[in-house]
Amino acid sequence: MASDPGEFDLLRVPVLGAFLRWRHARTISQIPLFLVSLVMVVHGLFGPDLAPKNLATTLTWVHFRGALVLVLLAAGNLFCLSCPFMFVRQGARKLFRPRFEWPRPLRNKWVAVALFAGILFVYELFDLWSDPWWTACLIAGYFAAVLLVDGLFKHAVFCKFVCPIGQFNFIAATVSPLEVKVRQPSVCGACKTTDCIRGRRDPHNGLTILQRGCELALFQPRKTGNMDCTFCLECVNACPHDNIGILSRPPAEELTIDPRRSGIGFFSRRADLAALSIVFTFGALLNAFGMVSPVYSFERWLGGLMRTGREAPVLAVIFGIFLVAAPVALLGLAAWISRAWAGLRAGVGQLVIRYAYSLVPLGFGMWLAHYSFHFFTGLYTIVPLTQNALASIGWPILGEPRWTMVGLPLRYVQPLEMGFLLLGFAGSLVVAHRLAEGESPEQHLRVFAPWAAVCAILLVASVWLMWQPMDMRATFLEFS
Amino acid sequence: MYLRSFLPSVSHGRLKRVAPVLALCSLFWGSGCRTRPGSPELVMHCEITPQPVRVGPASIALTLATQSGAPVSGASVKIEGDMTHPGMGPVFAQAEAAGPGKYAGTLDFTMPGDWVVSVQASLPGGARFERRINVRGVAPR
Repeated sequence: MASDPGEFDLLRVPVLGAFLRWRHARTISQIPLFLVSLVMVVHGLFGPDLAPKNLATTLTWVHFRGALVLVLLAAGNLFCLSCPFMFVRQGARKLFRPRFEWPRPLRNKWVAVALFAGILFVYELFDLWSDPWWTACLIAGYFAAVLLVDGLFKHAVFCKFVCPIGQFNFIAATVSPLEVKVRQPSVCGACKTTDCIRGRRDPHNGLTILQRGCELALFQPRKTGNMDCTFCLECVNACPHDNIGILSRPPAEELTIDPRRSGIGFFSRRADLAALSIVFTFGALLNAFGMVSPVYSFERWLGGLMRTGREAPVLAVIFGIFLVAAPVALLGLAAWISRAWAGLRAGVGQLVIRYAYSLVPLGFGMWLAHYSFHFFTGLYTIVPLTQNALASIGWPILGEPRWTMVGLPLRYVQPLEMGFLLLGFAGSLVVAHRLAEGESPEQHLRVFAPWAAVCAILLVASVWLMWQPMDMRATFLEFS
Repeated sequence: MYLRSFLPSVSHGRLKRVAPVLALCSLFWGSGCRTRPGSPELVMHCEITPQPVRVGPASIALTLATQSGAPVSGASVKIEGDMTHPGMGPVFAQAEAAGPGKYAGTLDFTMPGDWVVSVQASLPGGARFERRINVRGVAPR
């Protein structure tokens, strides 16, 4: 199918398109983020120990997270394009070559899902948001982990199988409006070189790579959607026919279909990807739950019930409830009802895997609502912080800190939050309905209804959470 | 809230968890009640009312004294409140003299959650004194 001539192609936009097609565009876009990362680490380790006064905590937990989800909503996975960790990794690979292949049993998302849940857990346990030192250590540790994994293993193993931020971006980008994809499939049909995945090597010295192909094993003619795509644009540079663009597409459409995807396979057979969707969605609620008043009463009650004053076991139980018990109960029940009601042949487990993807838009809506709240209400804090940081090193070129600069008023931000939640809810309903139509054209409403109910329950929970008074504590078990 | 000035600015629970790391990094980084290098060793008592502290204005009563118990009067005392979460703006207040060695001000706690109140005093003679107080769990209004 030829691409629609009316389709938007970011690479055809004047100036920006030319920049993105330039083979050094990625490196150039990584350098600013790398420098900012260095500043964050140094300020986190040696700067003020109050989180609102430190660039590490403020940039990481207010600006970066907010910008990340807003860019995913408006465009696509452009953070991975500009990833500062990959900048360091590319530099390191000029010095040494990885020798090993990533073990076959680990070529899935289970490690990354565990790390994703683990980071959410550590974030709550150690109150990372309030601790510049630990935030700086997390950033530095991330650099070390990238160097270790990609220093030992070939290809983009860290991005594809390990990186929790990357997995967040991959699953969120399934609802992004832009996708790196083939412009004219017929051109690929006649292509003999498949440079987009193989890359190009020096014909005189086969060891010298002139141009990389896709390191995440996504073969463009058979690539569907944004899963596992880091927007690195190596394929764009490698294609000798200039046949790959960053094209517009209906957000979340890729969740409604189930073709065999290059480098991924069938979504419906990937329990690990379904688990990622579930952790992504329920983790969004969990992450917001940790910041509202009722959580402290619940935690104290639970701590009393468990006869412990230690935070870790109480948090572990809460994580178990949110990430395991609630999904198993809700999705299992929905699958069982839709199977029985519509007379489906597929098993409950298969249905859970298939429909877990329908929750992604709602989960993304919740992440958007939460992170954009911090982003917008703390938007301008970067100004006095930078002024303060420069003044503290004896270079007050931006003047005295203007601490009155904070962010947008709540009355503007709260409607936006509600809009994101409703948008996500609508997206999830559409995806679930399309999946149900494909599952059973005659009985699609019977298949759809239980999943719509799950979405409605999650929406109500999300709205309730976002309307609770924000209560940022790190000390819920101090009574003990 | 009385005698809060003797508490470190990290919670005891967290302190236990991160003690080894804190011990290492304390070589170059202090995290407790901070006193500026070279600042006089004073004793500060702080009382915040109402208790429990709620969102809204709260009265801060401070007492400054030397180690021997002599009140320190004539200081210019600034109070700053910061949330422990980034992205939140600080609040400021100027404490006024309220008797020998006593100072009082009103700080507006704008959100529920954990706060850190910093007291900065410019003493007669030019010396400066700084101390932090944790105000945990400011309740909704």
